[in-house]
Amino acid sequence: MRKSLVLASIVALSGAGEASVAHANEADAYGLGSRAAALGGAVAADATDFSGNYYNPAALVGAEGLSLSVGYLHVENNLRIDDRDTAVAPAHGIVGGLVAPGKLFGIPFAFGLGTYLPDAGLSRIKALRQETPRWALYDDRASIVFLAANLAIRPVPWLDLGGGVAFLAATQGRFAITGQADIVHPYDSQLTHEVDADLTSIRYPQIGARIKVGDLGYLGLVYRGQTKLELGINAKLSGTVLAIPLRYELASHTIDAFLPQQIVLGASFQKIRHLKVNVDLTFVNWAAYESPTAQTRAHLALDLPALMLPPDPRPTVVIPPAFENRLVPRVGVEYTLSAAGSVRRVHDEDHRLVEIPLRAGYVFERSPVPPQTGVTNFVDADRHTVSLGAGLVVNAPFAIFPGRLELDVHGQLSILPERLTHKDNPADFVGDYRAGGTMIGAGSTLSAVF
Amino acid sequence: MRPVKMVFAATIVLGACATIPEPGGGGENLPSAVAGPFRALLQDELGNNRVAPNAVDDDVFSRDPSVIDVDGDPTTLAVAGYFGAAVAQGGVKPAATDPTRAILRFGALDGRSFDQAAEVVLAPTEAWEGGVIGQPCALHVGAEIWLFYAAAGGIGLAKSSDGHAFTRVPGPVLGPNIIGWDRDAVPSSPGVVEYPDGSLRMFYEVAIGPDSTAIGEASSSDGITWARRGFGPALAPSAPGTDADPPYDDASVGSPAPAIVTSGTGRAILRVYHGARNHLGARVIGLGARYLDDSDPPLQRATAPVFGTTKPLSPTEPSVLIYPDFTLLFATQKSSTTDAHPAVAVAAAPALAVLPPPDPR
Repeated sequence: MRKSLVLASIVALSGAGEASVAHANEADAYGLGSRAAALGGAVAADATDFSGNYYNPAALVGAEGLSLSVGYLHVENNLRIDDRDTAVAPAHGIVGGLVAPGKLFGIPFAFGLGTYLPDAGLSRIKALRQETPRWALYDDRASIVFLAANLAIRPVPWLDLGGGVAFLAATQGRFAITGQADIVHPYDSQLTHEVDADLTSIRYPQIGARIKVGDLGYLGLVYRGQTKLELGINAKLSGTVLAIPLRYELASHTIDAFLPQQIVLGASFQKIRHLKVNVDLTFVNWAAYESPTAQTRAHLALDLPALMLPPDPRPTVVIPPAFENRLVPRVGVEYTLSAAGSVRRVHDEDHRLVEIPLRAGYVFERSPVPPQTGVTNFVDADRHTVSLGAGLVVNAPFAIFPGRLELDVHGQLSILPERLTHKDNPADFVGDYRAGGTMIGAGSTLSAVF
Repeated sequence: MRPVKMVFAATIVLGACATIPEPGGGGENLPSAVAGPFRALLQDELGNNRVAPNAVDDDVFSRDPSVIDVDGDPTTLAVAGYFGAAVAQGGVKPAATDPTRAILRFGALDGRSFDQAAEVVLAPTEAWEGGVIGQPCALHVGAEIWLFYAAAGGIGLAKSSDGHAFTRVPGPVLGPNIIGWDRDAVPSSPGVVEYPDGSLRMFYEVAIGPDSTAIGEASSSDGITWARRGFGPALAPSAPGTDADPPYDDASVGSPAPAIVTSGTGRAILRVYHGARNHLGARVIGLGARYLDDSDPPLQRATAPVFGTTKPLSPTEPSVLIYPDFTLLFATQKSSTTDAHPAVAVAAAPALAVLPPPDPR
């Protein structure tokens, strides 16, 4: 029996490593592209670069020419509980994309691709009990590949429409161990294992519209669908211990990387030359959030009638997380300085050789997580994010390159004021705690507009 | 299209360089009430030639521990443990089933690896004690160490200025109740704690049926005169459950060990660790608690037992030592799965707690 317990432990641990927790994606949490991040993500009516692949597909048709962008983002999380750093992993990865505008039967259209590739691995998952404290919205959230492909058209001069599909990576797999185990002489064991795992993708829709309001600017309206990763693992141990056949089965299923559906209403005031003032309001349907707690089933079977086996572990009773919907206001301001050089004509507009856009943004995200007075410990706090950014635009630098080169940089600081969690049950094993912290991020994006 | 191809190629190359993930984060310094569940100590966590998880396992069957910090400073590890023990009767070695007839004091420099030799600090001398004393509960009160203990006639008290030489307070300080829910039942297994206002609370075990006990509560300003609180037990066995989902404490609760702690946000909490038994006879250590305020709200149970679920060793009579980052639990239980004589095991919470090095002796 002792030997079989050892084997069972091996399998259980292996299985647990394949279950999960992680939520949302990088674009949602930290922004896609330096310009959009510097404007606090308030670009639903003003995302004519590759960032429109996340913020508003319709705006892609406003691109001035074929553009290619590549950049990098790094965010350090300093999220603390009871004044101790919980070591939430930093988010860092490559961002990029393209916008290819054109005309089809006289109608302007654009095709866009946008992506975020975490450079710490394409996928990372881990298992947590629902009692275990975890930063519900930020722990490992950026460990997911994000890719979006969109089409946009401009059927009439004042209306842009767009839509597409966004992809997230998921894993589904199983493993099995078979053979003969000798615990006393482990090197004499003969075990074979099989691992069969797929990196599959899930898709969710996103659609948008952008309306030109005279010479005042634009209004944007965006819908992003809900999505989630459903992760499963089936582990099976079949072997012989002391000539006794045994079988251990473990099945685990969990929800990962839940991304709630969102509706965004945005405005971009552009009446004053060189100045853009953007405001977005996002409804986020966090009430639909599903618990990431792994639902596990395990069974040990031993062909020895005289031996009483312990009962199967009780299945986890998942407590509904009961997150709340929230409205997220975003504000962004961009002012472009005409810095130096002669006037060039780029895409039917006059620009000086060097321009310097200056940007600032602010976002307030009220926590959707209700007070964790019970058994669960989804840790979160309200989040205030201020961002600053700048660009360096070189217009038509060469005779053979009539377009524009742009280097954007940004920095952002998120402050999560401390939130108290008071447990109803004084015998709670986690107890009361205080949670808060900061996030500091920076990034840059290099774009070429042809 | 050349630029497009170049961007795609660069992206694929950079992405391909990063398919081995970094270690995940977010799992460090997570909050814990350090209240449980407890895991038994491993051999490399015990010194002084003790065999894990037993901090004491001797031929007088020392048991029912009460462990206190010698200097009251949780940053230092030295402790004193008071144990009930059987003694030789007429030159005959005691048996494991003999009642305890002495209270011994063991020291432990590392907080858990008790000395091999002990001293007798209290033996039955009073008629009301009936020749049996045990289940000690020691605590610092001012500059003294007070030792409450169970005897045949109730609960007694002895005081000491140095923790070695004790002087009795005459008579039992808590005897059988003459009215109420615990009428005529002899209280035993005292657990006493000092409240923030300086008053004392005693939790004690009392029989409520042929094979069932509950926990009562009393208060005192001087440790000598006690007034029972409430019109029922502070903690009674839980309601019966189903055989598929049996409660861990539907038959009996007792041997309370109270402690006062402060939560991560500054709320004072009374914890009462206790022995528990279900109708199938399985024993574990449970936890009840309440927030301290002007009223005495009922003790709320933890969602699960805190110790004793992994091996059928029947733990009971807990005692806890609470440090800033971990808690040690001492409990009487079977010496091993193959030897039923009582020993005192030691366990730690949280499960990932890293203890200071053990006593190298």
